[in-house]
Amino acid sequence: MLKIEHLSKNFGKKEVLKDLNLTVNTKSIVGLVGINGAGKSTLLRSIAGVYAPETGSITLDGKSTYYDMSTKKKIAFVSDEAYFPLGSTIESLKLFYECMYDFDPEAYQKYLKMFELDPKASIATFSKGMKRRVSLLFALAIHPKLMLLDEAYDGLEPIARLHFKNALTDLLEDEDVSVIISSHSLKELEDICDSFAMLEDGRILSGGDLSESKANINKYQLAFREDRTKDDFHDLDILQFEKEGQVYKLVIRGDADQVEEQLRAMDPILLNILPVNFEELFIYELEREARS
Amino acid sequence: MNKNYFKWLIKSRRISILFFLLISVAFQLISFTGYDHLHPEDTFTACANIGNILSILLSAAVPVLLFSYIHRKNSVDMFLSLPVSRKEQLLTNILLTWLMAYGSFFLGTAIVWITKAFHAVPVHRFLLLQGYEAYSLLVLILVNTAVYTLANSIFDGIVMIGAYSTLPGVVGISIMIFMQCMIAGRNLPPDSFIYDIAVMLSPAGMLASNLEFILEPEYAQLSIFSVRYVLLQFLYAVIAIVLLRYHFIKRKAERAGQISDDILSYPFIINIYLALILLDMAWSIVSDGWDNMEFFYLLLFFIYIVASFVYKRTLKITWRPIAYFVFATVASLCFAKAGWATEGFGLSKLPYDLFSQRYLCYSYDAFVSIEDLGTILESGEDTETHEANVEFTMVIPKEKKERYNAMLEKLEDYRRQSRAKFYNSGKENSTYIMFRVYNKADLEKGMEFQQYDYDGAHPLSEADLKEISKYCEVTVTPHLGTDNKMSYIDMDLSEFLKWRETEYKN
Repeated sequence: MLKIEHLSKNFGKKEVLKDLNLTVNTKSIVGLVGINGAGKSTLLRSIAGVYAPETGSITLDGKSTYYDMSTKKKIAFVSDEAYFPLGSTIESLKLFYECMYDFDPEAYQKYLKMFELDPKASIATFSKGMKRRVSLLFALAIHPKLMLLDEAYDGLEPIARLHFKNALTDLLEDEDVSVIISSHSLKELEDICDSFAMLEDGRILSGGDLSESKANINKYQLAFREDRTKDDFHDLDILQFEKEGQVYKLVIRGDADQVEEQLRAMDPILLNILPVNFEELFIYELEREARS
Repeated sequence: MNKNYFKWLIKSRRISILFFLLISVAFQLISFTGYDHLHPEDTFTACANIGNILSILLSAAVPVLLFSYIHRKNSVDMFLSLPVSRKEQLLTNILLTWLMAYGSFFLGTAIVWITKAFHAVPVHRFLLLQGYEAYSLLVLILVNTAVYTLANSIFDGIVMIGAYSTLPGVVGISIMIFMQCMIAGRNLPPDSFIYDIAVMLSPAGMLASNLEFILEPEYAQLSIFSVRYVLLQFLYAVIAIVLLRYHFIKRKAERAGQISDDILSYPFIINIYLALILLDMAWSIVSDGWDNMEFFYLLLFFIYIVASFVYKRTLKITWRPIAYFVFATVASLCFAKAGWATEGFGLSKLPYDLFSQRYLCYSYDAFVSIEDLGTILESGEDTETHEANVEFTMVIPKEKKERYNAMLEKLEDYRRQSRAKFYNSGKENSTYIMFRVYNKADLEKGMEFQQYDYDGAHPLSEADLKEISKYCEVTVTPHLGTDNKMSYIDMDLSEFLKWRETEYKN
């Protein structure tokens, strides 16, 4: 289990992470989302042990991810722009991972085949998507306990994404792994993540189980015989209020059954309940934060 | 040190490591081509000198290669997230660099020593050489690595290593210009630490100096192996470790690819170079006049703007750098003026030890008029046919100085006049007269001590020269044009005076 407690990180006078707390359970895939500059990459780098925590701590199964090298060995960090030395091939990179991590040759062969990569070809000739596959191949082949993907999942072609998703599912079934994926593509994250953490201005704005969070926010289409104002709904946690003709479009946070009961008590002539997707959830949360 | 990281470094770079080692050893073995069985130690010396230069180059080049990952945006995450702490990465990279730099030196010198110079170079000297080279290269590697980590890109890192390596040389040149332009007689004893600053600022310079003493003590500048250098090198190593701790081990942010704006990076380098060059120009101006210096100021400003562009990666000429440059120029000129007004900040009046060695020597070399050896030719007069060169070197042994008392008083008075003339007459009144005072321990050896040079002194009168000729030979060489048979013939003073009265006047 990954535990981040009261983590802060400054770059000069700029406070990038502010008293951040986050727990990632084993066998969980967490989508880390946030606008540019929210601190996603800094958080992932801090978890990966690139940066030392200034205050607070980051532990994986109780051991520091920065100071404990045996813990660092169990972390696979794939950044957006992976580095491949000039003239390197998958074969030559293998040496690096063999020396540094608990490299599994069988897993390597399995994923090499799965990602359809030529081990002897120069990586410099690979497309961006293929380079991503190389990074993911090695991240999977070292049997990590924690996998950190910094926008590394973005831009994978559908087949590769499917392969990677299957590989992750297999890995999570067989081993106690936690995965954190940062991405701007919320649709892709929604497809693979079971939980999420929303980062805003160096803090976790909201997070938790993705399905639960999504279930907790719903879109409601309503129509009434008489005119209604936003104040008529003051008992509800309204995230968005719109009126088009006689139809009211509301986004409300709260238990769907309870909210429906409250709305029915207002005697609507129309009541439709629509689920929100991850992208909408993200936007509503950000808007709410902006308003507050 | 991390075993796995070291293993990977060796395995992944085995071809380049072998290449560098073989090249370095091969270059050292070139010394075999000049092998002389009568002087086998010369072959060993040549080999050690070549090996030393190559090892110094490796001590700068290898850290650039091994630490390049911290200067690349995409590699920094990969390496710093490795299960190898920053401290271990640092130690492992430094160990590999040291093994390459010192290893190649050791291999080359050991091969030559065992095969050709085993009997000529004693074991203790060989061991001292190896120990000192190993120690000095470690210091150099630490310093170069520390300097390289000040920057945020590979290019800037290389610029920093180059700039910091050449800085002691620039400081040395500045000191020479200051002494030449501002101090009459360059009135500082040669063993003054000022002359040694350039060497002491450079770990490579100190290595070269002490190595010269180990290899060829009879020809070395140093009379003893300098323990002061060894201690200073240790101090540099400590400073480098402190910098590496701050800039690498405890580094708070990775700024690969950004501008290198650390206070010790471009801001320091650009300003220190600017200050030194401006001061050099200011010393020249106050002592010799402007003499087309405006062009050099323009050139320097252009270089300053280019350096600012290299630093900030943007060419934006605003009033601030211009104002700063103008301010620095004016400040340097004012400082130099103050130096001139105080006769070299008082340094030209420093007391000196007249007899620091067994022999006190006065040397005079003047180009004067044949008609009167006490005057110099006016500008426009024909120096090809009317000039004479007057020379003498008076050597006064310490044990006989009483016999020379009157002459000593006269020459010391002449020295005081020469010093005053240096500050009181402008460049237009400068003369081709050189008056030197120095000491010697042994007349057979070239080494000079307590040496003071007074350029542009006034000429000694013929009466003075006659007086001096009683103590030492005064040589006069007339310049009469290439057709005259007496031209360029050395005569002593009495011969010259006779010749002038007879043949020359007729």
